[in-house]
Amino acid sequence: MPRHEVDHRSLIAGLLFSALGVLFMIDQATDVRIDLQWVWPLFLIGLGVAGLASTTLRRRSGQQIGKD
Amino acid sequence: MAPDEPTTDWYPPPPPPPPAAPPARRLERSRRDRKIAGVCGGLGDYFDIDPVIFRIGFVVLTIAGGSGILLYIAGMIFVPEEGRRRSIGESLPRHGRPLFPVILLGIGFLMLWGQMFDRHGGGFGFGFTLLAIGGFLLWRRSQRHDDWHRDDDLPPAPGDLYPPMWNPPAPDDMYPPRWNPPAPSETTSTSAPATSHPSTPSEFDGLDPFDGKPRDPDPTAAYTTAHEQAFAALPPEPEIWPPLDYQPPALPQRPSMTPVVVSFLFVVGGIAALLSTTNTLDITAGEFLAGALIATGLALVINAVRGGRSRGLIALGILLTIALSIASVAREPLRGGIGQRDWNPATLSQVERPYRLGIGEGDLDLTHLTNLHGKHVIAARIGLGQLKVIVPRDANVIAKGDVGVGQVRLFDQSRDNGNHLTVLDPPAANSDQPTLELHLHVDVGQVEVLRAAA
Repeated sequence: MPRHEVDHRSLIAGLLFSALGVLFMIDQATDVRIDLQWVWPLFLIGLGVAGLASTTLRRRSGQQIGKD
Repeated sequence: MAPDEPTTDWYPPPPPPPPAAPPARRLERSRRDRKIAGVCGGLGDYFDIDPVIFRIGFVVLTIAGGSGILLYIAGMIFVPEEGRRRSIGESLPRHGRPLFPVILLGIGFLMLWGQMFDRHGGGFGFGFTLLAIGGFLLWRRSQRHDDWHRDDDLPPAPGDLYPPMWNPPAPDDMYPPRWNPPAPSETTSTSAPATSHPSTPSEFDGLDPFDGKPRDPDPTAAYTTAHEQAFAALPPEPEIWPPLDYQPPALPQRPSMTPVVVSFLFVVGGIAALLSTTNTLDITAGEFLAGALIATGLALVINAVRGGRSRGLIALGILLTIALSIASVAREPLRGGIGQRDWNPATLSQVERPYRLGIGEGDLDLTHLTNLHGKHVIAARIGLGQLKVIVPRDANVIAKGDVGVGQVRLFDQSRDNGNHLTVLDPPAANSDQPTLELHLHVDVGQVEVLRAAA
């Protein structure tokens, strides 16, 4: 049975949102205070890593198709 | 039919184009309603909400920590402009090096660097400035190289799913037309003069071109004609080799999970509100929003594997992130009430832990406290407004105050915007007197601690 290809963009966005949710949950539900000035740089880094990963994966899959 | 007419009627007419699918609603930067790049106008169109609300939200977030600028620039880069299929961020990696993620990484690290080593200095502002400049340059570059998008701007014509990369020439263009001697005709064979020299093939009809004598009838002519007619009646042969840019047809997308997730969140939110009302469960709006963001992220991960549209979930995640940013900056308005509060505890048992007020002015008078011995911690938090604390004249006081946006004034010292301030008064504690440790916080407004008058 054919399977859907994993949508890397959705996967990375989902992981990013989950991580943000966990950080916000810690901030809201515990006495630990997460400073937003730390969260947004991490968010940007996650976004950048996601972009690099998706670009690399796309190129690699393109090379695989070329080999076949 | 004339022999030189194109033989297009050999092929069946092309099938009618499939009916155009209704355009999917998507988040776009508006061209009609824009102040800067149309992000808020596009959000307003997408969610059918007045864009002014989004503009206020971005301004508030910008003032309270600067995340509004980040979100807006992210919107500029990731949300496609109205009428275009791809956003700036999607286009850049296809047309060159992945500059955009590299720039994002660099800026993020710069900002972290600024946070670690120059917390109260300009490091953070420097990161923001770089971010703004980088975003602006990317945007300008995409505007200048508009031809990047040109093939994307127009919707593909129906049936033009695979634009051909190479059109092979038609056989008639590659080879000269084959001359098929026509079937012998008795009329021409008998009337043609034997002495004239033929100059065109038509003049050879039925004659041998070398000796001009009538030719023998071609025994295969009838077979050839019948064969060609049968061949013409066949349906056109399907292409065996796919076009060079062929992509296998995508599997049908599964229905979006967005309605399921939103409905689930409504149900869970309602149950949580009911339990909170009956004091069975103590959950704040911020905690619920954080849980909703985690659930949205997990739904996106599931969606990525099972195959389904994820734009709605991503939009929901962005909305929840914005709401949580606001909730984190202005934490107290979601918890405390509104108005003027006068707190005058007479004993330690009457001291609330902590004192809370959402919006308004809170006056905490500690001069009536009796039977104080040793050290006591008292905390007060206000979302938006002013917090004023009056302490006994002789007590040792360790006052710790901070505001998100506003001013902290502890006795004769003060500090602005987001900076913590701790003051010991008197500086050398008197061991005979009790000590009050005050933890005071205001999201937006002022914190003030005064000594009671003699």
